[in-house]
Amino acid sequence: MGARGTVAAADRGGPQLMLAWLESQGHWGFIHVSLAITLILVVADLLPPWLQQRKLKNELRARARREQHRTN
Amino acid sequence: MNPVWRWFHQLGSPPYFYRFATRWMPWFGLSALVLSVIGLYLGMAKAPADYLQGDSFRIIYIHVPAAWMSMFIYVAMAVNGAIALIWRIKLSELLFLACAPIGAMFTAVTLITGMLWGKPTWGAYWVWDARLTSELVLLFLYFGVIGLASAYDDVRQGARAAAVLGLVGVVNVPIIHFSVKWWNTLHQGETIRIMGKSSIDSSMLWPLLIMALATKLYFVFALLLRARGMLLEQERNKQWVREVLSPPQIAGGRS
Repeated sequence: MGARGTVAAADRGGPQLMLAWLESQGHWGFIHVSLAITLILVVADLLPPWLQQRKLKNELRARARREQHRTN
Repeated sequence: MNPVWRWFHQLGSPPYFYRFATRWMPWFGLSALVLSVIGLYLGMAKAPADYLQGDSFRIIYIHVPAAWMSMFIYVAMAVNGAIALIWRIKLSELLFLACAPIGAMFTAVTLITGMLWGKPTWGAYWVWDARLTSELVLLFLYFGVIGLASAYDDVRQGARAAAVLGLVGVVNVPIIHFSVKWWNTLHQGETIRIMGKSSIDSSMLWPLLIMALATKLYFVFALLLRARGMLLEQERNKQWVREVLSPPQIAGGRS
């Protein structure tokens, strides 16, 4: 998309402007955005269960330690 | 008993599964990471540009393995759902629930990268084409399974209710696969065939196969991670959890 398309998109607001920018980057722009979105989704897939599990493990370990103290 | 069957029976035991997941998860994760780096390097830097689509075809190295996984995970989820409904095996219920968000993630990657490939190739981000629409239905099915399962207070009851929806939705998988044959679609037909010659050059095919293997390994890694967390949450008051998580002196001198 050329300068005319970019100016027209600017009148239409944020998302249109972002798409106009993306299209002006050529094929590698689409490839880079694909890679970036995939990476974000993978991190979003892995991070919550990993953090939740770490918290739960710490909680259970602390409880086991408390019980051990009580029995001692 | 056959050793493979014995192993499957053992895997149904929560403590055995927990130890199995803890031991093998890093290997699956590491192999997935290494293969992804190799596959992406070969696909992005070494494979030649397509004569018709130019460089934009390189999105294939994310889009196609993600699309294969979106369908593969749905089938794996449905199989676990069927086992959970028929035999009421606790671990199958957990694996069923763990599959859904991973499958939804791969389906979202498929749709988004497909749109980003569609614009330079077709001139449009989205068309209501049979392949694209059926893939979107798959994403809604994953969301439906996640939503229905979380609507129940009892995790096991929620898993079994969502398993019914999961099983009904299996009908969509062959529709996605055969959509490019059954209807005239804008989406291209099969490029890679298991039986017969693929219409892709080997210099472009190898990175794709490496990425396909990497996504499979990632799936196993993410599945074990999620299922292990759910198992720990469900069995938090069991003695084996205390033994597994406690340092030796707390677990009563065990090493």
